[in-house]
Amino acid sequence: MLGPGLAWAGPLDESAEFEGGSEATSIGLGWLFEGANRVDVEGEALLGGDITVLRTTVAYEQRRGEITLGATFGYTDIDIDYSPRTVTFPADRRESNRQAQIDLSWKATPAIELTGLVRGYEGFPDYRSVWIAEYYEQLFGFVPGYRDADPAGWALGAGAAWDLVPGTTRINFNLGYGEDEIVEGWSFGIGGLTSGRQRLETTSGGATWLQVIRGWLKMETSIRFQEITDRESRFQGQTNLAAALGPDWTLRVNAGATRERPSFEAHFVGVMVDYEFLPGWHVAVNSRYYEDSGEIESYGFSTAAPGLQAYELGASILYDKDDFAVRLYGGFYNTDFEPLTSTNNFFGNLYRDRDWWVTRIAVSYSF
Amino acid sequence: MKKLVFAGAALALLLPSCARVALSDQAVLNRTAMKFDAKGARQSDCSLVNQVEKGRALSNTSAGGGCASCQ
Repeated sequence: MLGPGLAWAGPLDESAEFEGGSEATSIGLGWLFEGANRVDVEGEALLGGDITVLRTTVAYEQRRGEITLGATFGYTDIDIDYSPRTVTFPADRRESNRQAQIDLSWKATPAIELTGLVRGYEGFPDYRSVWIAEYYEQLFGFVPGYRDADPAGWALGAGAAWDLVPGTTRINFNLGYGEDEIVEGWSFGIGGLTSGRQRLETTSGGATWLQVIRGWLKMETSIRFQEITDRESRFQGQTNLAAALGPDWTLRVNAGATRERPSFEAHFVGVMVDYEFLPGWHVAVNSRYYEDSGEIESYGFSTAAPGLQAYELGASILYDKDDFAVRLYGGFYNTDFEPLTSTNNFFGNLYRDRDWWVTRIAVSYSF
Repeated sequence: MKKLVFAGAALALLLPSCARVALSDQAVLNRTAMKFDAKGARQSDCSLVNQVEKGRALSNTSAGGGCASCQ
């Protein structure tokens, strides 16, 4: 997907995979593909035994002069073996999510680029929402007034990128607004069946600073905020470093932290080493660690996740030459949740420790 | 862990103070693995782990919505 400031003039051209954009074919619909074009096709899998998430994404970008247009379509299949600790019954459930996004960017001046995007989706955005929907459906599905979950959402975004020192320093600013129809919570009391909030509104923004430090070292630092209905603001700071350690070795390091009052904190670090063992052929190994303090619980019954520690170890092989690139990735991923309390023990099997396998295959072609 | 993250942030602010880049550095700076906004096959992350790690992804456009616990 396009981020604000896709195009980078000068030595730091982050989107150089566009280079070598072909001449338009002169037959039939060739005019449609004038300029530089790129197609990305990706398939990802998150396999956790009783939870399977598969995602396919197709993205297309075209750059014509000062304008870059992108379109991304995604389809996610979520399959869970629902297994409650109490009250409800085991069940197999399968849901999907369909997502589309359009990006547009315009290089207004040699140093300034403006971007915009619109995104929409329909369906369950993650496996946890499927699990929680199944719980409420079994518990209250037969009660008059209950509505089946029907998640959907849309978002708009705008940004500007400024090449403060062309080839060395770039700063991005962006803002976004979105609305999501969520899987609502239900409760039964004296007044009968009542539901929690059905819609969330999100306002977000951020700034990113991309800086070349030496001819072999560069850094990207970002700060972001996000405000969601009925919640305190969430802030995040993150830094990425990329260092060329030799003619064939590259090191990537990432660290970040997120905070939301009154009590949510998350920290994460990651390292990747890439080695080009033949011209165009790369092998990379990566390791990541993540921890958080657990989601903020509302009073009483809660679907909130407890504290989490997770790590991932993976390796990939990449062939990247001229206009074509293909990557195959495989990784082991472990999640370790803190013990549940009486308020969220109903979801003990959703928030149990798991060993996952993560795989990804992606192909990119420029023409 | 927290100290490590803050040390990284401090380092990130101090390091770029004197950047000098020659044209001959282009090839190195444009390596696939050196690009922060690489896409498709050229980027190396699997985004599905964000379904578990709710404090990692903070998109500028999408809500953290999707489930009742986001209230």
